[in-house]
Amino acid sequence: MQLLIFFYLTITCFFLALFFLLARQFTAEKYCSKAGCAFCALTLATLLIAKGNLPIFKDFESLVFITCILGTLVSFCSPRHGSGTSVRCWGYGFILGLLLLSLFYPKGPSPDGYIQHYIWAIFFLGFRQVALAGMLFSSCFFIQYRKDQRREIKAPISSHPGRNYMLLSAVCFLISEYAGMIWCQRGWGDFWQWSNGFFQSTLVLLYLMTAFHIPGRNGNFDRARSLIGSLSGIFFLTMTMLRSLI
Amino acid sequence: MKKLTEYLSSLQFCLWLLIILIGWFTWASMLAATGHSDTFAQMNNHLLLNWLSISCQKAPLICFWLFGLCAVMTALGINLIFCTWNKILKMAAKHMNRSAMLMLMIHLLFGLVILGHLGSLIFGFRHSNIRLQQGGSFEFESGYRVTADQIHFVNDFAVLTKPMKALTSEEFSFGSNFVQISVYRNDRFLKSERLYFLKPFILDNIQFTLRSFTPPVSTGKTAQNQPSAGTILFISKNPVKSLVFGLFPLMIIGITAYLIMTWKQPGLLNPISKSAGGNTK
Repeated sequence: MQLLIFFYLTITCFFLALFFLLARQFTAEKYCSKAGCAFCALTLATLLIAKGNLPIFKDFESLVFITCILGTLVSFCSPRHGSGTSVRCWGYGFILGLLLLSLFYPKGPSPDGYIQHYIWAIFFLGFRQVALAGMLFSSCFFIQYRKDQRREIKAPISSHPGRNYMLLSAVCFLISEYAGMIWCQRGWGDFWQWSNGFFQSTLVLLYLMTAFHIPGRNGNFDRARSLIGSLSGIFFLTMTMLRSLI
Repeated sequence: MKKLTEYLSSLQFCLWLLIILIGWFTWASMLAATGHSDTFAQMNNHLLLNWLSISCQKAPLICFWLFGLCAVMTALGINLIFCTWNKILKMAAKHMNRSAMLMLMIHLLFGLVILGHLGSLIFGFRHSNIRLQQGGSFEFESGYRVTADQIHFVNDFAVLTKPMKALTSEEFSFGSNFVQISVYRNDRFLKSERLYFLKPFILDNIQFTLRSFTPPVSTGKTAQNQPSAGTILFISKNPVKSLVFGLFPLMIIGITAYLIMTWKQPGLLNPISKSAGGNTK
Protein backbone atom coordinates (compact mmCIF):
# COMPACT_ATOMS: atom_id res chain seq x y z
CA MET A 1 0.00 0.00 0.00
CA GLN A 2 2.78 2.37 1.05
CA LEU A 3 4.59 1.49 -2.15
CA LEU A 4 1.62 2.41 -4.31
CA ILE A 5 1.09 5.70 -2.48
CA PHE A 6 4.70 6.75 -3.07
CA PHE A 7 4.54 5.55 -6.66
CA TYR A 8 1.39 7.49 -7.52
CA LEU A 9 2.74 10.56 -5.69
CA THR A 10 5.82 10.31 -7.92
CA ILE A 11 3.62 10.35 -11.02
CA THR A 12 1.59 13.28 -9.66
CA CYS A 13 4.66 15.34 -8.79
CA PHE A 14 6.34 14.88 -12.16
CA PHE A 15 3.07 15.56 -13.94
CA LEU A 16 2.71 18.79 -11.95
CA ALA A 17 6.35 19.68 -12.67
CA LEU A 18 5.63 19.39 -16.39
CA PHE A 19 2.43 21.40 -15.99
CA PHE A 20 4.19 24.22 -14.10
CA LEU A 21 7.03 24.22 -16.61
CA LEU A 22 4.59 24.67 -19.47
CA ALA A 23 2.85 27.38 -17.45
CA ARG A 24 6.29 28.95 -16.94
CA GLN A 25 5.95 28.75 -13.14
CA PHE A 26 9.56 27.74 -12.66
CA THR A 27 9.71 27.89 -8.85
CA ALA A 28 6.70 25.58 -8.49
CA GLU A 29 8.15 23.37 -11.20
CA LYS A 30 11.46 23.12 -9.31
CA TYR A 31 9.76 22.05 -6.07
CA CYS A 32 7.48 19.55 -7.81
CA SER A 33 10.45 18.07 -9.64
CA LYS A 34 12.43 17.67 -6.42
CA ALA A 35 9.38 16.22 -4.63
CA GLY A 36 8.98 13.77 -7.53
CA CYS A 37 12.59 12.64 -7.09
CA ALA A 38 12.05 12.28 -3.33
CA PHE A 39 8.88 10.17 -3.75
CA CYS A 40 10.60 8.09 -6.41
CA ALA A 41 13.47 7.46 -3.95
CA LEU A 42 10.89 6.57 -1.26
CA THR A 43 9.27 4.08 -3.66
CA LEU A 44 12.66 2.48 -4.19
CA ALA A 45 13.37 2.51 -0.44
CA THR A 46 10.05 0.72 0.20
CA LEU A 47 11.01 -1.96 -2.33
CA LEU A 48 14.46 -2.24 -0.75
CA ILE A 49 13.08 -2.64 2.76
CA ALA A 50 10.42 -5.16 1.66
CA LYS A 51 12.96 -7.77 0.47
CA GLY A 52 16.36 -6.38 1.34
CA ASN A 53 17.40 -6.47 -2.33
CA LEU A 54 18.36 -3.53 -4.50
CA PRO A 55 15.36 -2.50 -6.63
CA ILE A 56 16.94 -3.08 -10.03
CA PHE A 57 15.93 -6.61 -10.99
CA LYS A 58 12.33 -6.76 -12.14
CA ASP A 59 10.70 -4.53 -14.75
CA PHE A 60 8.68 -2.36 -12.39
CA GLU A 61 11.46 -1.65 -9.92
CA SER A 62 14.06 -1.12 -12.64
CA LEU A 63 11.81 1.39 -14.44
CA VAL A 64 11.31 3.28 -11.17
CA PHE A 65 15.08 3.18 -10.60
CA ILE A 66 15.73 4.61 -14.09
CA THR A 67 13.08 7.26 -13.42
CA CYS A 68 14.81 8.23 -10.18
CA ILE A 69 18.19 8.66 -11.91
CA LEU A 70 16.66 10.54 -14.84
CA GLY A 71 14.59 12.72 -12.49
CA THR A 72 17.73 13.62 -10.55
CA LEU A 73 19.58 14.49 -13.77
CA VAL A 74 16.68 16.60 -15.05
CA SER A 75 16.27 18.39 -11.71
CA PHE A 76 19.92 19.08 -10.99
CA CYS A 77 21.90 18.88 -14.24
CA SER A 78 19.75 20.55 -16.88
CA PRO A 79 20.18 24.22 -17.77
CA ARG A 80 17.73 26.48 -15.93
CA HIS A 81 17.28 29.18 -18.57
CA GLY A 82 16.68 29.63 -22.31
CA SER A 83 16.32 26.37 -24.19
CA GLY A 84 17.26 24.53 -20.99
CA THR A 85 13.62 24.73 -19.93
CA SER A 86 12.68 22.80 -23.07
CA VAL A 87 15.33 20.20 -22.22
CA ARG A 88 13.56 19.74 -18.88
CA CYS A 89 10.26 19.49 -20.71
CA TRP A 90 11.55 16.56 -22.78
CA GLY A 91 13.02 15.09 -19.59
CA TYR A 92 9.64 15.15 -17.84
CA GLY A 93 8.13 13.63 -20.97
CA PHE A 94 10.54 10.70 -20.75
CA ILE A 95 9.98 10.38 -16.98
CA LEU A 96 6.20 10.23 -17.40
CA GLY A 97 6.67 7.77 -20.27
CA LEU A 98 8.75 5.50 -18.04
CA LEU A 99 6.23 5.76 -15.19
CA LEU A 100 3.38 5.04 -17.59
CA LEU A 101 5.25 1.99 -18.84
CA SER A 102 5.82 0.76 -15.29
CA LEU A 103 2.05 0.81 -14.69
CA PHE A 104 1.78 -2.26 -16.94
CA TYR A 105 4.08 -4.40 -14.79
CA PRO A 106 3.28 -6.13 -11.49
CA LYS A 107 4.16 -3.80 -8.64
CA GLY A 108 6.24 -5.26 -5.87
CA PRO A 109 9.73 -6.42 -5.04
CA SER A 110 11.46 -9.14 -7.06
CA PRO A 111 11.58 -12.67 -5.64
CA ASP A 112 14.79 -13.51 -3.83
CA GLY A 113 17.09 -15.41 -6.19
CA TYR A 114 20.82 -15.74 -6.59
CA ILE A 115 21.30 -12.67 -8.78
CA GLN A 116 19.95 -10.38 -6.06
CA HIS A 117 23.01 -11.20 -3.98
CA TYR A 118 25.58 -11.58 -6.71
CA ILE A 119 27.77 -8.48 -6.93
CA TRP A 120 28.52 -8.77 -10.67
CA ALA A 121 24.84 -9.15 -11.50
CA ILE A 122 24.11 -6.08 -9.38
CA PHE A 123 26.83 -4.09 -11.19
CA PHE A 124 25.62 -5.37 -14.56
CA LEU A 125 22.01 -4.32 -14.05
CA GLY A 126 22.72 -1.21 -11.98
CA PHE A 127 25.15 0.39 -14.43
CA ARG A 128 22.98 -0.61 -17.37
CA GLN A 129 20.06 1.27 -15.88
CA VAL A 130 22.20 4.30 -15.05
CA ALA A 131 23.40 4.21 -18.68
CA LEU A 132 19.82 4.12 -19.92
CA ALA A 133 18.84 7.09 -17.74
CA GLY A 134 21.91 9.01 -18.97
CA MET A 135 21.10 8.22 -22.58
CA LEU A 136 17.51 9.42 -22.19
CA PHE A 137 18.85 12.62 -20.65
CA SER A 138 21.29 13.08 -23.53
CA SER A 139 18.37 12.54 -25.95
CA CYS A 140 16.62 15.55 -24.37
CA PHE A 141 19.53 17.80 -25.37
CA PHE A 142 19.68 16.44 -28.90
CA ILE A 143 15.92 16.76 -29.44
CA GLN A 144 16.03 20.39 -28.30
CA TYR A 145 19.17 21.00 -30.39
CA ARG A 146 17.30 19.77 -33.47
CA LYS A 147 14.33 21.97 -32.64
CA ASP A 148 16.55 25.02 -32.10
CA GLN A 149 18.31 24.41 -35.41
CA ARG A 150 15.00 24.69 -37.25
CA ARG A 151 14.02 27.93 -35.53
CA GLU A 152 16.04 31.09 -35.56
CA ILE A 153 16.45 31.84 -31.89
CA LYS A 154 18.94 33.97 -30.00
CA ALA A 155 20.54 31.36 -27.78
CA PRO A 156 20.18 27.91 -29.33
CA ILE A 157 21.20 25.02 -27.15
CA SER A 158 24.43 23.24 -27.97
CA SER A 159 24.58 19.51 -28.62
CA HIS A 160 27.78 19.28 -26.60
CA PRO A 161 26.08 18.48 -23.24
CA GLY A 162 24.10 15.80 -25.07
CA ARG A 163 27.34 14.36 -26.41
CA ASN A 164 28.85 14.47 -22.90
CA TYR A 165 25.96 12.58 -21.32
CA MET A 166 25.94 10.12 -24.18
CA LEU A 167 29.64 9.42 -23.70
CA LEU A 168 29.07 9.14 -19.93
CA SER A 169 26.29 6.63 -20.63
CA ALA A 170 28.65 4.73 -22.91
CA VAL A 171 31.14 4.49 -20.02
CA CYS A 172 28.40 3.21 -17.67
CA PHE A 173 27.26 0.78 -20.35
CA LEU A 174 30.80 -0.56 -20.80
CA ILE A 175 31.20 -0.96 -17.02
CA SER A 176 27.94 -2.93 -17.05
CA GLU A 177 29.24 -5.06 -19.93
CA TYR A 178 32.47 -5.73 -18.05
CA ALA A 179 30.52 -6.86 -14.99
CA GLY A 180 28.43 -9.03 -17.32
CA MET A 181 31.59 -10.59 -18.75
CA ILE A 182 32.78 -11.56 -15.26
CA TRP A 183 29.30 -12.93 -14.42
CA CYS A 184 29.26 -14.96 -17.64
CA GLN A 185 32.81 -16.23 -17.09
CA ARG A 186 32.06 -17.44 -13.57
CA GLY A 187 28.63 -18.86 -14.28
CA TRP A 188 28.99 -20.32 -17.77
CA GLY A 189 32.72 -20.74 -18.26
CA ASP A 190 33.26 -18.13 -20.96
CA PHE A 191 33.23 -14.33 -20.94
CA TRP A 192 30.76 -14.01 -23.79
CA GLN A 193 28.21 -16.21 -25.47
CA TRP A 194 26.06 -16.08 -28.56
CA SER A 195 22.60 -15.23 -27.25
CA ASN A 196 19.81 -12.75 -27.73
CA GLY A 197 21.09 -10.74 -24.78
CA PHE A 198 24.54 -10.51 -26.38
CA PHE A 199 23.08 -9.42 -29.74
CA GLN A 200 20.99 -6.71 -28.12
CA SER A 201 23.90 -5.40 -26.04
CA THR A 202 26.06 -5.35 -29.15
CA LEU A 203 23.36 -3.40 -30.98
CA VAL A 204 23.39 -0.73 -28.27
CA LEU A 205 27.18 -0.56 -28.46
CA LEU A 206 27.11 -0.32 -32.27
CA TYR A 207 24.47 2.39 -32.06
CA LEU A 208 26.70 4.42 -29.73
CA MET A 209 29.69 3.86 -32.01
CA THR A 210 27.64 5.05 -34.98
CA ALA A 211 26.68 8.21 -33.10
CA PHE A 212 30.34 8.98 -32.48
CA HIS A 213 31.56 8.16 -35.99
CA ILE A 214 29.42 10.31 -38.24
CA PRO A 215 31.75 12.17 -40.58
CA GLY A 216 31.62 15.68 -41.95
CA ARG A 217 30.76 19.06 -40.55
CA ASN A 218 28.05 20.29 -42.86
CA GLY A 219 24.41 20.69 -41.92
CA ASN A 220 23.22 17.31 -43.23
CA PHE A 221 25.72 15.34 -41.20
CA ASP A 222 25.02 17.50 -38.19
CA ARG A 223 21.30 16.75 -38.53
CA ALA A 224 22.06 13.02 -38.88
CA ARG A 225 24.26 13.15 -35.78
CA SER A 226 21.63 14.92 -33.72
CA LEU A 227 18.91 12.57 -35.00
CA ILE A 228 20.90 9.54 -33.87
CA GLY A 229 21.57 11.30 -30.57
CA SER A 230 17.87 12.09 -30.12
CA LEU A 231 16.86 8.50 -30.66
CA SER A 232 19.64 6.94 -28.56
CA GLY A 233 17.64 6.77 -25.32
CA ILE A 234 14.54 5.41 -27.05
CA PHE A 235 16.65 2.83 -28.88
CA PHE A 236 18.30 1.64 -25.66
CA LEU A 237 14.93 1.58 -23.85
CA THR A 238 13.41 -0.51 -26.67
CA MET A 239 16.32 -2.96 -26.48
CA THR A 240 15.92 -3.21 -22.71
CA MET A 241 12.18 -3.80 -22.92
CA LEU A 242 12.66 -6.38 -25.69
CA ARG A 243 15.23 -8.14 -23.56
CA SER A 244 12.78 -8.44 -20.69
CA LEU A 245 10.04 -9.68 -23.02
CA ILE A 246 12.02 -12.33 -24.94
CA MET B 1 45.99 3.79 -54.68
CA LYS B 2 46.02 6.93 -52.60
CA LYS B 3 42.27 7.27 -53.03
CA LEU B 4 41.78 3.70 -51.90
CA THR B 5 43.88 4.13 -48.76
CA GLU B 6 42.06 7.38 -48.05
CA TYR B 7 38.72 5.63 -48.33
CA LEU B 8 39.89 2.73 -46.17
CA SER B 9 40.96 5.24 -43.50
CA SER B 10 37.80 7.28 -43.72
CA LEU B 11 34.90 7.77 -41.34
CA GLN B 12 32.49 7.15 -44.25
CA PHE B 13 33.83 3.61 -44.63
CA CYS B 14 33.64 3.11 -40.86
CA LEU B 15 30.08 4.42 -40.78
CA TRP B 16 28.93 2.10 -43.56
CA LEU B 17 30.47 -0.86 -41.78
CA LEU B 18 28.78 0.08 -38.50
CA ILE B 19 25.43 0.40 -40.26
CA ILE B 20 25.91 -3.02 -41.88
CA LEU B 21 26.84 -4.45 -38.47
CA ILE B 22 23.68 -3.00 -36.91
CA GLY B 23 21.64 -4.68 -39.64
CA TRP B 24 23.60 -7.90 -39.22
CA PHE B 25 23.08 -8.07 -35.45
CA THR B 26 19.41 -7.13 -35.81
CA TRP B 27 19.07 -10.10 -38.14
CA ALA B 28 20.90 -12.32 -35.61
CA SER B 29 18.59 -11.12 -32.86
CA MET B 30 15.59 -12.00 -35.00
CA LEU B 31 17.08 -15.38 -35.87
CA ALA B 32 17.70 -16.12 -32.19
CA ALA B 33 14.13 -15.14 -31.34
CA THR B 34 12.61 -17.21 -34.14
CA GLY B 35 13.78 -20.75 -33.60
CA HIS B 36 17.56 -20.55 -34.10
CA SER B 37 18.44 -20.05 -30.46
CA ASP B 38 19.46 -23.72 -30.16
CA THR B 39 21.94 -23.31 -33.00
CA PHE B 40 23.48 -20.30 -31.26
CA ALA B 41 23.56 -22.28 -28.01
CA GLN B 42 25.39 -25.05 -29.90
CA MET B 43 27.94 -22.50 -31.06
CA ASN B 44 28.65 -21.68 -27.42
CA ASN B 45 29.49 -25.30 -26.73
CA HIS B 46 32.27 -25.55 -29.31
CA LEU B 47 35.23 -23.62 -30.57
CA LEU B 48 34.60 -21.99 -33.93
CA LEU B 49 36.46 -24.43 -36.20
CA ASN B 50 35.00 -27.39 -34.36
CA TRP B 51 31.47 -26.00 -34.71
CA LEU B 52 32.00 -25.28 -38.40
CA SER B 53 33.08 -28.87 -39.03
CA ILE B 54 30.19 -30.36 -37.03
CA SER B 55 27.19 -28.12 -37.59
CA CYS B 56 27.80 -25.77 -40.48
CA GLN B 57 25.95 -27.98 -42.98
CA LYS B 58 23.03 -28.41 -40.57
CA ALA B 59 22.62 -24.66 -40.11
CA PRO B 60 23.63 -22.96 -43.38
CA LEU B 61 21.81 -19.73 -42.53
CA ILE B 62 23.71 -19.25 -39.26
CA CYS B 63 26.89 -20.25 -41.04
CA PHE B 64 26.27 -17.56 -43.67
CA TRP B 65 25.55 -15.06 -40.91
CA LEU B 66 28.80 -15.98 -39.17
CA PHE B 67 30.92 -15.67 -42.33
CA GLY B 68 29.26 -12.33 -43.09
CA LEU B 69 30.06 -11.12 -39.58
CA CYS B 70 33.69 -12.20 -39.96
CA ALA B 71 33.91 -10.36 -43.30
CA VAL B 72 32.49 -7.10 -41.92
CA MET B 73 34.64 -7.30 -38.80
CA THR B 74 37.72 -7.86 -40.98
CA ALA B 75 36.81 -4.74 -42.98
CA LEU B 76 36.33 -2.82 -39.72
CA GLY B 77 39.75 -4.05 -38.59
CA ILE B 78 41.28 -2.80 -41.86
CA ASN B 79 39.57 0.56 -41.34
CA LEU B 80 40.92 0.71 -37.79
CA ILE B 81 44.48 -0.04 -38.91
CA PHE B 82 44.42 2.41 -41.81
CA CYS B 83 42.72 5.14 -39.82
CA THR B 84 45.08 4.70 -36.88
CA TRP B 85 48.13 4.79 -39.14
CA ASN B 86 47.06 7.53 -41.52
CA LYS B 87 45.07 9.84 -39.28
CA ILE B 88 45.09 9.33 -35.51
CA LEU B 89 48.79 8.49 -35.18
CA LYS B 90 49.83 11.40 -37.40
CA MET B 91 47.58 13.78 -35.51
CA ALA B 92 48.85 12.61 -32.13
CA ALA B 93 52.48 12.87 -33.26
CA LYS B 94 52.03 16.23 -34.96
CA HIS B 95 50.31 18.08 -32.16
CA MET B 96 51.39 15.93 -29.21
CA ASN B 97 47.78 16.37 -28.25
CA ARG B 98 46.77 14.47 -25.10
CA SER B 99 43.21 13.87 -26.24
CA ALA B 100 44.47 12.55 -29.60
CA MET B 101 46.86 10.24 -27.74
CA LEU B 102 43.95 8.98 -25.66
CA MET B 103 41.88 8.53 -28.81
CA LEU B 104 44.70 6.46 -30.27
CA MET B 105 44.90 4.34 -27.12
CA ILE B 106 41.12 3.78 -27.01
CA HIS B 107 41.03 2.66 -30.65
CA LEU B 108 43.97 0.30 -30.21
CA LEU B 109 42.49 -1.18 -27.04
CA PHE B 110 39.14 -1.62 -28.76
CA GLY B 111 40.83 -3.48 -31.60
CA LEU B 112 42.65 -5.76 -29.15
CA VAL B 113 39.47 -6.44 -27.16
CA ILE B 114 37.67 -7.47 -30.36
CA LEU B 115 40.61 -9.67 -31.31
CA GLY B 116 40.39 -11.19 -27.83
CA HIS B 117 36.74 -12.04 -28.46
CA LEU B 118 37.72 -13.71 -31.72
CA GLY B 119 40.64 -15.47 -30.02
CA SER B 120 38.31 -16.96 -27.42
CA LEU B 121 36.51 -18.69 -30.30
CA ILE B 122 39.71 -20.12 -31.72
CA PHE B 123 42.22 -20.93 -28.99
CA GLY B 124 42.06 -23.31 -26.04
CA PHE B 125 39.31 -25.87 -25.62
CA ARG B 126 35.73 -26.26 -24.43
CA HIS B 127 33.93 -29.31 -23.10
CA SER B 128 30.31 -28.49 -22.52
CA ASN B 129 27.45 -30.33 -20.87
CA ILE B 130 29.61 -32.93 -19.18
CA ARG B 131 27.05 -34.96 -17.28
CA LEU B 132 28.53 -36.77 -14.32
CA GLN B 133 27.02 -38.87 -11.58
CA GLN B 134 28.73 -39.21 -8.21
CA GLY B 135 31.99 -41.13 -8.76
CA GLY B 136 31.91 -40.53 -12.50
CA SER B 137 34.88 -39.07 -14.36
CA PHE B 138 35.74 -37.35 -17.61
CA GLU B 139 39.05 -37.32 -19.45
CA PHE B 140 40.16 -34.50 -21.68
CA GLU B 141 43.20 -32.83 -23.31
CA SER B 142 46.79 -33.42 -22.14
CA GLY B 143 45.93 -36.40 -19.93
CA TYR B 144 43.68 -34.49 -17.55
CA ARG B 145 40.85 -36.27 -15.77
CA VAL B 146 38.15 -34.84 -13.52
CA THR B 147 36.17 -36.95 -11.08
CA ALA B 148 32.96 -35.97 -9.31
CA ASP B 149 33.76 -37.27 -5.82
CA GLN B 150 30.67 -35.93 -4.13
CA ILE B 151 27.51 -34.28 -5.39
CA HIS B 152 25.91 -32.51 -2.48
CA PHE B 153 22.37 -31.41 -3.21
CA VAL B 154 20.15 -30.49 -0.26
CA ASN B 155 16.95 -29.26 -1.97
CA ASP B 156 13.95 -30.88 -3.56
CA PHE B 157 14.93 -32.50 -6.88
CA ALA B 158 11.72 -31.15 -8.41
CA VAL B 159 13.25 -27.66 -8.62
CA LEU B 160 15.86 -28.93 -11.07
CA THR B 161 13.35 -28.73 -13.88
CA LYS B 162 13.44 -24.91 -13.58
CA PRO B 163 16.20 -22.77 -15.12
CA MET B 164 18.84 -21.64 -12.63
CA LYS B 165 17.90 -17.98 -13.08
CA ALA B 166 14.31 -18.63 -12.01
CA LEU B 167 15.20 -20.35 -8.74
CA THR B 168 14.61 -18.50 -5.51
CA SER B 169 16.82 -18.77 -2.43
CA GLU B 170 14.11 -20.85 -0.71
CA GLU B 171 14.05 -23.33 -3.57
CA PHE B 172 17.78 -23.63 -4.12
CA SER B 173 20.45 -23.24 -1.44
CA PHE B 174 23.23 -21.58 -3.42
CA GLY B 175 25.70 -21.84 -0.54
CA SER B 176 25.00 -25.49 0.32
CA ASN B 177 24.75 -27.27 -3.02
CA PHE B 178 28.14 -28.18 -4.39
CA VAL B 179 30.12 -30.74 -6.33
CA GLN B 180 33.42 -31.95 -4.93
CA ILE B 181 35.77 -32.66 -7.82
CA SER B 182 39.27 -34.07 -8.04
CA VAL B 183 41.59 -33.33 -10.92
CA TYR B 184 44.25 -35.76 -12.11
CA ARG B 185 46.86 -35.53 -14.80
CA ASN B 186 48.21 -38.77 -16.23
CA ASP B 187 46.64 -40.48 -13.18
CA ARG B 188 48.58 -38.26 -10.80
CA PHE B 189 46.35 -36.46 -8.33
CA LEU B 190 46.60 -32.66 -8.68
CA LYS B 191 43.93 -31.06 -6.56
CA SER B 192 40.49 -31.48 -5.07
CA GLU B 193 38.02 -28.63 -4.80
CA ARG B 194 34.35 -27.84 -4.26
CA LEU B 195 32.44 -26.24 -7.13
CA TYR B 196 29.53 -23.99 -6.26
CA PHE B 197 27.26 -22.21 -8.68
CA LEU B 198 29.14 -19.04 -9.84
CA LYS B 199 32.26 -20.18 -7.97
CA PRO B 200 34.34 -22.08 -10.50
CA PHE B 201 37.66 -23.75 -9.87
CA ILE B 202 40.69 -22.82 -11.98
CA LEU B 203 43.74 -25.05 -12.27
CA ASP B 204 46.53 -24.65 -14.85
CA ASN B 205 44.36 -22.02 -16.59
CA ILE B 206 41.60 -24.63 -17.00
CA GLN B 207 38.27 -23.54 -15.59
CA PHE B 208 35.86 -26.09 -14.10
CA THR B 209 32.40 -24.55 -13.93
CA LEU B 210 29.33 -25.99 -12.27
CA ARG B 211 26.51 -25.38 -14.75
CA SER B 212 23.69 -27.17 -12.97
CA PHE B 213 22.48 -30.27 -11.19
CA THR B 214 20.42 -33.05 -12.72
CA PRO B 215 17.77 -35.21 -11.01
CA PRO B 216 18.91 -38.67 -9.87
CA VAL B 217 18.91 -41.37 -12.51
CA SER B 218 17.46 -44.04 -10.23
CA THR B 219 14.20 -43.36 -8.43
CA GLY B 220 14.42 -46.48 -6.26
CA LYS B 221 14.99 -44.70 -2.98
CA THR B 222 15.99 -46.85 -0.04
CA ALA B 223 17.26 -45.97 3.40
CA GLN B 224 20.77 -47.25 2.66
CA ASN B 225 21.00 -46.00 -0.88
CA GLN B 226 19.85 -42.39 -1.10
CA PRO B 227 19.64 -41.31 -4.72
CA SER B 228 22.19 -38.64 -5.55
CA ALA B 229 21.74 -35.78 -7.98
CA GLY B 230 23.90 -35.64 -11.07
CA THR B 231 25.79 -32.63 -12.28
CA ILE B 232 26.57 -30.79 -15.50
CA LEU B 233 30.03 -29.30 -15.75
CA PHE B 234 31.67 -27.03 -18.29
CA ILE B 235 35.42 -27.35 -18.70
CA SER B 236 37.19 -24.66 -20.65
CA LYS B 237 40.59 -23.24 -21.31
CA ASN B 238 40.71 -19.76 -22.79
CA PRO B 239 44.25 -18.39 -23.12
CA VAL B 240 43.09 -14.91 -24.21
CA LYS B 241 40.69 -14.42 -21.30
CA SER B 242 43.23 -12.57 -19.14
CA LEU B 243 44.12 -10.27 -22.04
CA VAL B 244 40.50 -9.19 -22.52
CA PHE B 245 39.83 -8.85 -18.80
CA GLY B 246 42.96 -6.72 -18.49
CA LEU B 247 42.43 -4.49 -21.51
CA PHE B 248 38.69 -3.86 -21.19
CA PRO B 249 38.96 -1.76 -17.98
CA LEU B 250 41.85 0.17 -19.55
CA MET B 251 39.57 1.03 -22.45
CA ILE B 252 36.88 2.22 -20.02
CA ILE B 253 39.44 4.31 -18.12
CA GLY B 254 40.67 5.75 -21.42
CA ILE B 255 37.17 6.79 -22.50
CA THR B 256 36.48 8.26 -19.04
CA ALA B 257 39.71 10.28 -19.15
CA TYR B 258 38.85 11.44 -22.66
CA LEU B 259 35.38 12.47 -21.51
CA ILE B 260 36.81 14.47 -18.60
CA MET B 261 39.34 16.18 -20.87
CA THR B 262 36.73 17.15 -23.44
CA TRP B 263 33.80 17.88 -21.10
CA LYS B 264 34.04 21.61 -21.64
CA GLN B 265 32.57 22.76 -24.89
CA PRO B 266 35.09 23.72 -27.53
CA GLY B 267 34.23 26.84 -29.47
CA LEU B 268 33.41 24.88 -32.60
CA LEU B 269 30.45 23.70 -34.56
CA ASN B 270 29.53 20.02 -34.38
CA PRO B 271 31.09 19.24 -31.04
CA ILE B 272 30.26 15.53 -31.22
CA SER B 273 32.37 15.11 -34.30
CA LYS B 274 35.14 17.32 -33.03
CA SER B 275 35.51 15.84 -29.60
CA ALA B 276 34.29 12.28 -29.99
CA GLY B 277 36.38 11.16 -32.89
CA GLY B 278 34.86 12.91 -35.86
CA ASN B 279 37.88 15.04 -36.62
CA THR B 280 40.32 12.21 -36.40
CA LYS B 281 39.50 10.34 -39.55
